Amino acid sequence: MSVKQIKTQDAQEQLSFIKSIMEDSQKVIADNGDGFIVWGILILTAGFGSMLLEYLQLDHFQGWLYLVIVGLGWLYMYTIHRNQEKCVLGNPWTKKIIDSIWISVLLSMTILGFVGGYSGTIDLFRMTAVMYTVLGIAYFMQGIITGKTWVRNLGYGWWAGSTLLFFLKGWEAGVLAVLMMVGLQIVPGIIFNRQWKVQFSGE
Amino acid sequence: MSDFDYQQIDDLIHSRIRLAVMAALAAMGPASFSLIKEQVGATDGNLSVHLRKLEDGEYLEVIKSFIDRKPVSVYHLTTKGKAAFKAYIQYLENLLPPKNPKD
Repeated sequence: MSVKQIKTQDAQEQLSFIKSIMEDSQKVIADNGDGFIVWGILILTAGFGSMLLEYLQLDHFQGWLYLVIVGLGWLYMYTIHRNQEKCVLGNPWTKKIIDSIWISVLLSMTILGFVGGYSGTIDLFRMTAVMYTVLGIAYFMQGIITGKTWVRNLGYGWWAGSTLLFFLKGWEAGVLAVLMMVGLQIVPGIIFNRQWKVQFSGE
Repeated sequence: MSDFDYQQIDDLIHSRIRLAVMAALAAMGPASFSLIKEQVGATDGNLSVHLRKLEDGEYLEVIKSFIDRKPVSVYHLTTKGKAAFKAYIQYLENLLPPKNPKD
């Protein structure tokens, strides 16, 4: 092998090394997880509030309760969460894609929930199942884009749970919905937050 | 150009760890020490030394700020660093044999 060939090979190896580092780094996102926790708590509050209204035979206020809670969620997205964008480290393009996925999923859920429910197109008893099915898309895609298998698997978790929710009724459906919101939304938010804190712990 | 000319190669980037840091920051954008460490796979001490060298060469800059009321250091490539990284890649690419347009 000539000297020239060795040097060409060396350059090829360096370029492959750069490419592999850049490909891995493009997937990196360090999110503080607050959005997951806030939305999780808001949805749980809406769920428990809704049950309470039903118990008090004030069912007709349920729609208003969801309107206020979801309104608070969007208010959070456009105020506090937007100001916290600096808390998310990583490739700006990856961040933009993930943000777009979440915004479109949340917007779809808002339309399905309010328009679908109000128009009577979607059975209110199956609303949670529909919502959770849509939510699975965001987790699955975030997991694929960031290369995090456990986040992708959360998507499968949402889809498996929502499939069950289509068949369950009464308290069983309520318990499963709460468990899913805690286990697949709030807990992952806490994990994201811990991982994010680790990014600055070595200083 | 078809051979390495060691007079022309950018020594500051040519080191394996520093090259990895430059590549990671070019892809990730601003990043914390831990995030860079995770991508590069170097020890704390080793990485600190290389980051300092890149900082001294004005290839990267450290921004001290507060996130959630905690002081944090975020590293990012300077304009000079981005240009040097681009030039380094260009230099390597020039060493490769020209691609056959039929490929």
